[in-house]
Amino acid sequence: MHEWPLIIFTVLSQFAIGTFITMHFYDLRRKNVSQKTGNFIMITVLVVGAIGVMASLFHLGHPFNAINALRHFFVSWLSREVVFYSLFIALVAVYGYLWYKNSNTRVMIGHLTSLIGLVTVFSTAMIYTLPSVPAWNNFWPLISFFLTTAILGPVFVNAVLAWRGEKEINLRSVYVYIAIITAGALVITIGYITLLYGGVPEAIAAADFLMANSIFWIGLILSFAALVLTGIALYKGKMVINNKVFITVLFAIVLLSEFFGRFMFYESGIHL
Amino acid sequence: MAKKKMGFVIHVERCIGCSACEVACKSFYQLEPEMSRRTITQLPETATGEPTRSYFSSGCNHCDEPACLKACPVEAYTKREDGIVVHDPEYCIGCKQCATACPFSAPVYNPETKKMDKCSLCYDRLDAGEEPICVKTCPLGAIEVVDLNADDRHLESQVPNYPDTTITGANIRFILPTAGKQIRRDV
Repeated sequence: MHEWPLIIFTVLSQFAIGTFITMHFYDLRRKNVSQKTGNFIMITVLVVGAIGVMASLFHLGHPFNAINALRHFFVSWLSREVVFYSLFIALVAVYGYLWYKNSNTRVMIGHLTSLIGLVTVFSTAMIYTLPSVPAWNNFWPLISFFLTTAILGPVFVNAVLAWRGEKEINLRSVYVYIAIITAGALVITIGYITLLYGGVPEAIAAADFLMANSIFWIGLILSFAALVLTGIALYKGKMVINNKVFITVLFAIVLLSEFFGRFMFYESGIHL
Repeated sequence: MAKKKMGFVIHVERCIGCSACEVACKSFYQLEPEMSRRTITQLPETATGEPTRSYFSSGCNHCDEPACLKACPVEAYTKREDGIVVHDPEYCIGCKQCATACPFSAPVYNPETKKMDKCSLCYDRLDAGEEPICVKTCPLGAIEVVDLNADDRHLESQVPNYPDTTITGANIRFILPTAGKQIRRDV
């Protein structure tokens, strides 16, 4: 588990970005999320985002010189990620303040923050899309990082809204969304393993490693469990859909699945 | 005058895999026990068509498109006019992204300084008109450091059991072994 700083950083940063984009989306759709709930979620984004950054510093030999990582922006994806993510956090703070003041300027800032957040996820994925690591030299880093962003944010936000009794949320459409994302992720994972098996020896070794690893299977099973739970909710209707404990359990499952999946991502990065 | 492109030429037939180059470099640069700037790789025994034992030594290939330089967030790598890729530890934060990006795993992490380290082609020795340590040490003369732009020998740029050198335009060339005459009684 020697890549735990990066596992924590990538999952939490993508969680923060997904959460923010969901909130901004709901704001645009006039979901009338209450002031206090919005404050809580914005603070959560900042805290989770900051925890992610602090975890990432443990990956460095010289964390106190991390500011130097801004130097190579025009060449290095890692430098770009540092710049964009720092911008994202700063903009979230601005947006949070504007939310708190109920200012309409937050809409424009929300657009910009969401865009910067997406560019951050893209930059993070490009760091790993390297010819030197065949298991990562394909669509997988991009797709899996965006999937993390797409699943954790909305599920978390809706769990919070459910607990805070926000009247205007439509949990049914959220469950449909979760079902599509988790089903898509499972199909894409099968496609990824197939791609690896058609590749160079290091890619095949990565596929063998994944298939033989129990953490990979537990992560997949959790993902599948999330899909089944959404199916149950949609089948049973309002009673289950509106149940705040149910969506919280669903969030816990997808969060765990994401951590296990990210752990397997780093472990399977077999170098040429 | 054409630009210089400094790189390695490895006489694979001469290399016996003794690791003298690796050890001499390690000793000269006082590297930590777990670090090495050079690696010895064995070719498959079928490389020449007949059973042959052959090796080659490699360090940093001072690539045309260095993956380390591109990956580094702090601009710790620079490529000199003569092609040598230099790591300056001043800004290095030990993120190891260069090691991940390099197809040849040339940069290694120094656990004492907590920064990266790699073969420098002994550029300061070259600048003073001296040979790199590995070249000087090799008892069989298996390692050459040349200006590849001025070298018109027929040299191979790919070798088995080694990553594709075209990924980054690696400046390492090989003179491959040939099969020796083998006397067989069963034919």
